[in-house]
Formats: sequence, structure tokens, C-alpha cells
Amino acid sequence: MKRFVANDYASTALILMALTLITFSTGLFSRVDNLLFDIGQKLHHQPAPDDVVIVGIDEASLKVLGRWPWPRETHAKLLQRLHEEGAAAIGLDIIFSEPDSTSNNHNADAILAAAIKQANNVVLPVMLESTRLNGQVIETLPLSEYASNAADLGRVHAVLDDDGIARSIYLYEGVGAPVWQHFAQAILNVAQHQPSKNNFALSNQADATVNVSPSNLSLVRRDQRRISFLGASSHFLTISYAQVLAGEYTKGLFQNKIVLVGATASGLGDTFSTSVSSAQQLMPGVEYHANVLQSIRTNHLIKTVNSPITILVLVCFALLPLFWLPKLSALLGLVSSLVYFVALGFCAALLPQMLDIWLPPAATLFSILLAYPVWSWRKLEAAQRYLDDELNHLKHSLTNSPTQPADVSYDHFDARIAQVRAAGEQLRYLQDNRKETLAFISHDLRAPLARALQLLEQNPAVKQQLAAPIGQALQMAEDFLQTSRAEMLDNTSFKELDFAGLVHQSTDDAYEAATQKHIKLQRDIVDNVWVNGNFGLLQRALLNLILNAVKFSPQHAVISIQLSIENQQAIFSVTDYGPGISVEDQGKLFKRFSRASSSNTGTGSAVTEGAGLGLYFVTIVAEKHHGSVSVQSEVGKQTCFSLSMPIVS
Amino acid sequence: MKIAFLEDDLAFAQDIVNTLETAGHLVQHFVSGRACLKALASEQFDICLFDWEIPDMSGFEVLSSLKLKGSYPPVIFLTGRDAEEDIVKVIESGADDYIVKPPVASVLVARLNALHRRNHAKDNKNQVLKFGHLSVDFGKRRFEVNGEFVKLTEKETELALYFFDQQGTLLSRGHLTKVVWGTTPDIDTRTIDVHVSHLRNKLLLLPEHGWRLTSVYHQGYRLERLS
Repeated sequence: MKRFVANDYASTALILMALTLITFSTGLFSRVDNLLFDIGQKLHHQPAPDDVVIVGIDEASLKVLGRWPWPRETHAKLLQRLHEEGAAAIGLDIIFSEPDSTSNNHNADAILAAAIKQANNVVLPVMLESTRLNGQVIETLPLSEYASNAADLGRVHAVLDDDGIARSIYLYEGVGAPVWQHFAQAILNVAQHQPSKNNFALSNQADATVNVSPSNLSLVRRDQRRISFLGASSHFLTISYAQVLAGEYTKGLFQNKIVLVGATASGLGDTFSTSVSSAQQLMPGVEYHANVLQSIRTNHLIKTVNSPITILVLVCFALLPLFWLPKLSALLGLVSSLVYFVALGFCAALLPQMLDIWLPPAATLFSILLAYPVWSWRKLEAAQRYLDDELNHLKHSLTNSPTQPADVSYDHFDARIAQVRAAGEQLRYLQDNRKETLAFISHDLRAPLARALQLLEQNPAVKQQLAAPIGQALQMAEDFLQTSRAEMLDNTSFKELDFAGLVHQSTDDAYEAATQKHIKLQRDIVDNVWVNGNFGLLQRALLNLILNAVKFSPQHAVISIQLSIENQQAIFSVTDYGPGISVEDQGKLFKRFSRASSSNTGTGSAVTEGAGLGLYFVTIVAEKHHGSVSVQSEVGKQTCFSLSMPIVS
Repeated sequence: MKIAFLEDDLAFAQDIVNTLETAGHLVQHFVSGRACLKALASEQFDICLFDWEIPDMSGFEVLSSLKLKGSYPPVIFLTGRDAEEDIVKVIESGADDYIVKPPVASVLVARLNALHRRNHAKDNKNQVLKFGHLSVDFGKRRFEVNGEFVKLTEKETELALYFFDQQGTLLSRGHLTKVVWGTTPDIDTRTIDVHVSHLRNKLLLLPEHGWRLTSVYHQGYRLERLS
């Protein structure tokens, strides 16, 4: 059986492993992964930092300041105002890739450039866009007069997943080489007086080694990180652009704050779905960057675990149910699988918050869902295989015919049933055979022995020498026969018996042996004790116990024979005041072919030794009657054998 | 008495024949079932002693044939088989008693005598029989133990008188029910056991007092006087 279990484990494990790997590599359930990630993000809610302020170009500002784009002097005014208020860093999430075209003032660009220079802490965005025709990616920088005055530059973008939801950013991106840092990183650099992380050396290197080739012009990205969102849209402190210009804010609102300026009006198109925002309430790009900024600053950017480790962990967790499934019942197995499924999904969703890592669990969850059916299937197959094997084996050992093919596969249910029936018939046949053998022993072996004994009675000359060995042989045959009968006993032959009558009768039967040793058999037997059982075997068992006591009792002793009822059990006990049995010998008494140690036979009794089956026989009979035998003895004082079995009320 | 003895084991049969002849009986020994049946049809026998396994016709088959013919002498089976189901089979076949091989000579003779006595019963009706401590007055239906009157119920008395009358013979449960409880055939199986148990206790039918009251594999009872 062990072999099958081991195979079961192996096959189930292999199937689950394959399922996990295939699901993981094909990304079949990436939607589930994303869903779990989003649930984790929604469950995780943190207060917005109080040193980040968003100045939003909202609908109200558009109403006050007119249609977008606004003249650049307006932005210059805003920057001056923020500078005066002592902003620590200003992220201006507005693209200035072309010269001003809306303002009447030809100096507008210069004015804004001057304001940027004056503030000396303004970060401007870089765009990476693909052209509409051939997908060529181009970098769109701010006008050079802006760019040269900006404190730092950063790439504005959000990665939209397959489902159109933004969850992550790349720390570095660029055409041909990952040159540009993220916009939020740039703002943070300025606020914390850190040098820029833009790595133009990479770009130069790339240029130097490889000439213009298509790959050189493609988008190169590095270090994708998921964002730990603090809350849904409008979670950060946001103030309207127009209000700032109008001075409608509390004094010191911008003092040493990081200020992000960007579009929040949905009409400007810079909004998208995120993990934490529903379709009805999209998150503006500027707030997304604020979340990125906070994630970078607090080291809570979520790193996706690399593939090999992910696969390893996924497979481990997928195989974990194999530890408990074999130990549980079918129902518990099912329940435990579901509980494990939910618990693991929950843990995976919370993982980013706790360890800042993300591990897509869907492949494992899928395997876990299938673990129970797969395991059950393998188990069923194994059970069937085992039964087939056993059946084959049985058929073989029963028929012993060499013409049978070694393997018979049971393709049909009916064939199996037929096989079981055949095996059953074979067993019945063998049973009958055994009965016949027993009858043989009973008739053909015992009879001549008994007759030999009888003949000896007529010939005293040889009786002395032969009586003992022949008597012993007869007793052995007798014990063997009775024990075999007891072992084959089944309760279909049971009848309701008068147990008190049985005890009386057994005592009567022992009377002659007792009288020979002048032993008195004292009866203390309650009436009306009814049991279900086999008359002959029970009677012999009781007689064995009494004769045993007679055998070990000294001459002129008393043997007490009792029958009582306790807790719905008939308790038969025989107490003799013989030599007693030591504790270590007590344990051996009821085993097959055990004989009482020689110290106990010191009474010089003439009773012939049997095959050592006497007490074993009693044990078997008691067990077949749902009862038990026990012994209590004190060396030198007394021995009490008890047989108890359930009564019929 | 004249005994029809069916047994195919010649050496064993000779022992039995010797034993029975020593006891003063007339024995006719058959090795074939057919021959035995033929003899039983033409001659008068007092008792049949049959072995179980005979090559041409088993003891059972001979008994079945006898039954078809109507009246026949009592039958005792000699059997080497002493498993419970075998004994049950013997009793259910309608045999009057059985003896396990090899028989103790005294037992064999006692059984034959008991059965013979039953079939040629003298009228015990008005006798008073004494057995050591016990006296049985058939006429007055009274029992005394050590000179003291023992009160028995109606059915107990009925059963006890029958036991003493049929001493030494095997009385099947069905037979006892019919004789003692004839008017109420559907009695509980425990009833007989309970009554027997009462008799044992009240009349002290124990080996110490020279009696043995045995249940024969739950199939019937036998009351024996020990020598």
C-alpha cells in the first residue's frame, strides 16, 4: 500500500507543479493577480503627508482663467507666488515643448524662464512619446531656455497594465538607454538637495558603441516598481490654481512644502484609473506622481519578486496542501482547501504593504483550487489500482493456475464485480476445505489416539509408559481443533444462552477432576444471565478456566467460581489459592503456544500438558463474544481469572 | 436387548460388539447401510446404533428410509464429529441420542439402557423413587430434599417428573416444549432454561449430590444419575 501512496504524492505533486508553471508563464490569471493587488491597496489606507501640496488646474480655475492653454505669464506668476511663499520644491507637470503661442506678450517665454530661474527649485517634465505613424519613440524636452533653468528634469509617465489600470512606474526610461529618472524622483531630489539621478553618461555610451540602429531608437526602461497608494483620488491636500493666484489660502501653506502643479480637471485628459480609484473617480496624473513621490521617499515602492524566486515560492505554496490532504477526511480536505485558498489570497494581497514586495499568486491559487480534485482523483485511481492488484493477486493465489495471464486489467466495472464474486467463491471454497481438514483431524486423528488410550486401560503393563504421551498427543489434537473452531467462529451462529446454566454445567464437568484432588468447587452464581454466543465454545472456555484452576490448586483446596453482572457485562471468575503467577508470566499467559512456567506445575498434578493453547483459546472465544479475559494474581496467595462479556437484557 | 449396529471400521466395531455382548446384549453388526436396512425391515430390533459415515448409505440415509416406513426402533448415532453443527444435525435428523467416538464403555451401555427403558417404560405413576438425598413421589407429584418438602410450580413439577422419568436420555427442546407446555406452543426460548435452572437450584441437581443436568449444545437437556 505504501508504494501507491508514494506514487500518489509524486503524480499529484507533478500535476500541481505543471499547473502552476503553465498558469504563471502564460499569465492566464493575471487579472486575478491585479485584482488581489488592488484589494490590498484598497485595504491599506494611510494619511497623506502634510508637506506635499497639489496645486490643481481644476474646472474652477479654467472658469476663472479661461480656456487651456493659459498664457505663460500666468504660470510665471504662480511660480513667483510659490517661491515667495517658500516652497521647498515645485514640480510643474505641464509640457512646455513649444514656444508660447497663446500669449499676446512676445516675451512670455522669457518671463516664465526667468521665474523658473528665480525660483531655482522647479522641476520640469520630459515626455517620451511614440509618433503616430511608425511607432518611433521620441523624447520631448521642455524648451531649452526652460530646461536650462530648471532645477531638475524627470520623465512623467504611468504604466498602464493590460486592464488599463495604472499601478506602477519605471524608475529609469529613455530612448536607446534608460537615461531619465522619474518626475517624482526629480522633485524629491530638489526638495532634499540631492543631485539629479538622470544618467546621461549611459546615453553617450550607447551612442558611442552602436551607431544608429533601430534598437538604439527604441524605448528602454529599467526598474519597474509598483506604487503603494496612500488613498483614493483627492487624498492629498489639493488647492485650486486660481485660488493660489488670488491669494486665497492660509498663510504659510506652502512654507517648506513640496508643491506639485498639474491638471486635475477631467476635461484636460490627464487622469486615469488606478488600483485605488474606481472608473467613476479617476486619479489625476499629478496626484499619481504625489503617490509615487511619497512611495520613493518612504521606501515603499513595491518591487515585484523576480521570476525564478516567484516560481519557487508559487510551487511550494501550491504543493503545501499535499501535507494535510492525505491526513484529512474528504469533507475536511475540501474545507481546508477552501480556507487555505482564501487565506493565501488574503496574505498575497497584504504582502506589498508588509514587505514592499509583490508576488502574483493567481497561479498558485488556481492550483490550490484544483489540488483537492486532483488529489481525490489520484487517490481514487490508486485505490482502484490497488484493488485490481489485490484482486489479481488473490485470484492468483487462490487458483494457482499458471495459464492465467500475470496482469488482468479490469476495464469494466462489471468485470471487476465478476472478479470479486469469483474471489469470494474461491474463499468460500477454501473455507469449506479448511472445515474438511478440521473434520479430518477431529475424526481421523483423534479417534485412533483415543482408542489407543482405551486399549491401554486393558493392558496395565504398558499403560504406565504410554498413557502420558498418548494422552498428551490427544490433548494437543483436541486443543488445536478447538482453537481453530474458535478462530473461525462468526456471530451468525450465536444463540441466546443461559450463561448461569453454562457456568453450572462447566463446573459440573470439572467436578470429577476436582474430586480426584479432593478440591471443593464453591459456586456463587447469580441466575438469569443471558448472553449471545456459541454454546460449545463458551462452555469449553469456561471449563478450561476451571480446569486450569484445578490443575494449579493443591490437594484439598477450595476453588471459588463466581458469576455476577456489572455494567451490562456478565463477569465470570475463577479464583484458586494455588502458587500464583508472577507479573512477567501473566503477560505471556494468553499468547499462542505459551505454557505456564515450570514453577507453577510444582503441585505434581497428573493433568497432561496440552499444546499451550488453553488460555489462548479462551482469549479467542472471549474476543469473538465481544468480551475479554484478564488475570489477577498474587504469588503464593491466589490467582483469579475473569471472563467478561456483554449480556442481553 | 437386540441391537442393530452399523459400522464400517471392523477393528473398532469388534471393540463395540465385545463391550455390548459383555453387557449381555445381542448385537447384529452390519458394514453396509443397505444390508442393515434390509434386516430392519424383516427383523425386530430394540435399538439401532449407527455410524455417521458408511460408504454405500450413511447413517442419516438409513434413518430417513426408516422414517418413511413408519415405526422403527430408537436410533443412537456414533459420531467422530463433535462440532456443534454436527451434533445439531444429528438431533435435527430425528435421532434419539448421539455418542462421540470412541465411546467410554460405561457411557455407551448407560445410554442404550436409558433409551431402552424409555421405550419400554414401566408405569412410574404411583411410585416413590429415592435417590440419595432426593425422593420423588410420582403419584402425589411431590419432591423432598433431605426429607424436606420442596415447593415447585406446576410447570416445574411437570418438567421435573419428566426428567426423572426419562433419566439418561437426551430430551430435545422441541420435545420438552411439547410435553410440558403443550397447550402454549409459542413459549419464549428462555422459559425452558429458566425452569431447568430453578430445578437445579431447588432440587440440588449437582454432581456433589450425584446428579448432572446438562444442556446439550443448547439443543436439549439430559438429566443423568452419576454412578
